[in-house]
Amino acid sequence: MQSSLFFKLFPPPAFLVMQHAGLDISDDGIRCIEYRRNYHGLTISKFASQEFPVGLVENGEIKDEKEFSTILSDFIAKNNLLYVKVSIPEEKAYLFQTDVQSLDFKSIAQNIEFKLDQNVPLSAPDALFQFDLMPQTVVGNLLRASVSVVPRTYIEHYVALIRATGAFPVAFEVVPKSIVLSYVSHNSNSTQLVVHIMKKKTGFYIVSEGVVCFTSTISWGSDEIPLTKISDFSINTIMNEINKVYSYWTTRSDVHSDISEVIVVGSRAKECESLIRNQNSEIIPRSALPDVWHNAFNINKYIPAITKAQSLEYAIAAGLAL
Amino acid sequence: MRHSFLPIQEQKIFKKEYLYHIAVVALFLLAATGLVGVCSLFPAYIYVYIEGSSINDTIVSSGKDKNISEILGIEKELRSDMLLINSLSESFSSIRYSDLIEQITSARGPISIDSIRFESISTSTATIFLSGTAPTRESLISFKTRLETLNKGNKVDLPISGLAKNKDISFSLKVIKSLQ
Repeated sequence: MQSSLFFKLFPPPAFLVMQHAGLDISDDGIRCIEYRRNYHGLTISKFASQEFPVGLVENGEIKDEKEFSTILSDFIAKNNLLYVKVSIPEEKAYLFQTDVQSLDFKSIAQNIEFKLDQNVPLSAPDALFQFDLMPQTVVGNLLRASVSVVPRTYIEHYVALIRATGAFPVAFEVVPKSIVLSYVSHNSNSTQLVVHIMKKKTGFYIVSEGVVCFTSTISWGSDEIPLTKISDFSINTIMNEINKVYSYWTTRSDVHSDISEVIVVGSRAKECESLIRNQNSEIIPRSALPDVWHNAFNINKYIPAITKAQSLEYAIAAGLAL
Repeated sequence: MRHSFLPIQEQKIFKKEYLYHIAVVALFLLAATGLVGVCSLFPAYIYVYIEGSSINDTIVSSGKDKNISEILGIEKELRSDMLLINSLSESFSSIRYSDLIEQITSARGPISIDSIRFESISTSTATIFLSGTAPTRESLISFKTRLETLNKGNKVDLPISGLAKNKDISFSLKVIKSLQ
């Protein structure tokens, strides 16, 4: 994240900046990252993780609210978090794309609000949404918007839980967008398939020109990868899903570019990426591990306390904290 | 901000919190500015205070000098006034020359007096020298007698040479006139 020379020379006081932490709440656990800005840019001031007991959160649903609140309160108090930007699991969000007139932001938002009923099973008063505009115009004055919609009750429930811990939620963001925020350049015009591996599930997100265009989740997680003899393990489930998503994307008529690479993040991402690479698939052009600090700082100038392998698990929190 | 999945109510609370932070920072800056102002003006205040005290001391001391000089001036004036008053009172207490001359001329009769000279006038006596011309010896003796009788204690010295002629006698008298 670049800051102007003025703010480098005259940084606003921390009390006024109200620096927030990225809080990634998933089925597996909680992770947080908070940056601190200095003259050279951002550095990591806080990072922590806490695993949930098995079954506490499933597909974004909190099964034991009391235990969840206790764990969340302890985590927030232990890490002294005040302002947090919280992730929303992909299963709880609806994603659709629509073409809108190229007008001002407010008009586009109203335009999308009218189209909510047609695209998601939620009425406008019961939904909270946000959208990203694809940089390239579709036809004439039309723009392609990628809209994420979340049930209002879900957000309000989380707000109440977080406020009860003493923290202050400043925003919510869906998981795919959070990952994109961490590593995709602002001027990117390529298309990537992000494979987000969790312990019990894996998310597949197509990111085109920095905008999340497609998401799907399968119930296969890193827990199924053995701890030893990894090279002998077959990841057919993942490869099949990658092929399906790839085929879907190539058959779409409105795409501007094909998927250029597969990006792997999340739990045991390094092993998974190596397994995907070893498959020698003809469809997949290449696979890679992202630099989740790309939009925060230059890894050649500042070496964080988090290792490269660990950083892949912190991708969501790293994106949220920006 | 509006499309950050945060409900409007929460956004309002967050904005209020942010405004509160701005107010705190603004007040802090105001206080800091005031403190810097006070700190920067403090040396000037000390300088002005010392200068003021110094000027006050100078004014007070010069006032004292002025009072002393005024007192001394008044004393001097009083002394000169005293001298004047004494002199005037002495003048008022001594006999007036015109009175003496009047007494002498009233007693002269046919004698013509050419000059009257006052010498050694004290508080009790006055020595007067008279010169003139008497038509006769008797008139001169008579004049001498009248002068002696003007006041008790008067003494008149008439030289005998003055009685050598009978008529148009030029004389010179010494009158010791009592002023009591």
